[in-house]
Amino acid sequence: MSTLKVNAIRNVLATSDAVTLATDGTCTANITNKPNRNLIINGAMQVAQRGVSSTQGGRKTLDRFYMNWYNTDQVALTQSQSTDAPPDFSKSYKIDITTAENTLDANEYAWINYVLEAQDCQVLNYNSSNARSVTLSFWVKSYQTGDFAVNLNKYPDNTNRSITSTYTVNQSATWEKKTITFVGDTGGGGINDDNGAGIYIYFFLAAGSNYVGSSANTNQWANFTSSGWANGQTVNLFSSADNYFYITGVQLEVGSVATDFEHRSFGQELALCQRYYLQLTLPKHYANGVNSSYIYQTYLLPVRQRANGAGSVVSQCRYYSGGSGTNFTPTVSPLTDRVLVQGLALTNGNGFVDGTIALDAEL
Amino acid sequence: MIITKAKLAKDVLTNEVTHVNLTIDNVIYNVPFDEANRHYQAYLLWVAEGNTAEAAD
Repeated sequence: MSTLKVNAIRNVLATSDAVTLATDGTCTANITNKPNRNLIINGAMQVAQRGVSSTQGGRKTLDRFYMNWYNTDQVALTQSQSTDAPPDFSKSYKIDITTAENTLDANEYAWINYVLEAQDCQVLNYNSSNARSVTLSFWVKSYQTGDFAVNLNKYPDNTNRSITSTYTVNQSATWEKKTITFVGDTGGGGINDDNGAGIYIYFFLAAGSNYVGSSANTNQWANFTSSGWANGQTVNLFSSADNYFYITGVQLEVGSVATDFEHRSFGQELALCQRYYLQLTLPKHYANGVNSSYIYQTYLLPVRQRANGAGSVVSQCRYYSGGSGTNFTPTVSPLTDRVLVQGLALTNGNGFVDGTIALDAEL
Repeated sequence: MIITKAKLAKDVLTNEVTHVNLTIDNVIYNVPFDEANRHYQAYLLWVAEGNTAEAAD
């Protein structure tokens, strides 16, 4: 047993100490893999409240992520939560082309999108000389090899600013880990400290000629230009029905170092996702002796949502009517922490039986 | 997000118009008047394009 007695520990090439030791026996460490460093929710693609597969675009499967495509003529695809995943992961987001696009016209494009909430971006210090770099890391598996563009866009607040970089898939049908560091934006008016959208991340899958050709946004923040949005994208995912694209392990962290993916439990990820979207199964309740045409019931939500959500029915709702369940369509009025469910124009209403509603407060 | 129908709706307790029912992809959303809600943002754009929601019952 021996004791190493030093005042600090520093890499031979570094200019500052990694660990500083104090005289009281404590130490201070400059750690990059701190807890809660991943700004991305559901980066391991575990949570899919809406469903696991869809042939439509938009928010149909995995929470917080969605895929969309624009101005196309023939292409058809399936987006899904897949169990094909790299080491340390069990799920991924899969885009599978089922019908190819004959030609990629100038105005056609496709991406997977993720939106960061503005108040979660304040640590980035944008629009100041202290603007911080961020590092995006992720695993991809693609049938096609070649270059893909990734864009960060700061749209809703102040000036529309954008930065684009690329990564290369080197081997077909093989999981590869990619890392991109984006510098901080020292201009552009910053990001409002509120519950709106902060930064949009676009993982491009195809981009017509309108969206490539300008280097104005390449590896540098500048005012948005459409021809710089996907600059460097050479792969066209829509070119063949053989094509597919998987992604998982998405992590965005402050600084220029890509640390190991920060795994969170399913319960933690689900709760984080529910800030933006949640489903609620109506609990049974029975009001004995009440035969009303109206039923009102307020339920507390498991998490406080980002904004007052939009309510919709996911599965058929029923109410008690003379001992049996009768179908009805509720009016759903969510606030951020509760939801009022109303059954109107009922016959002998005595309570709710079942049914599932969704509250959508996504960005 | 393509809105195919919009109808204002009342809270039957207060008889005040409290939200708008939007039909999007054949799903009806009860949308609150909250400018942070993306469905309400889409509704405002839809109105700005010259569309008008049906009156509440």
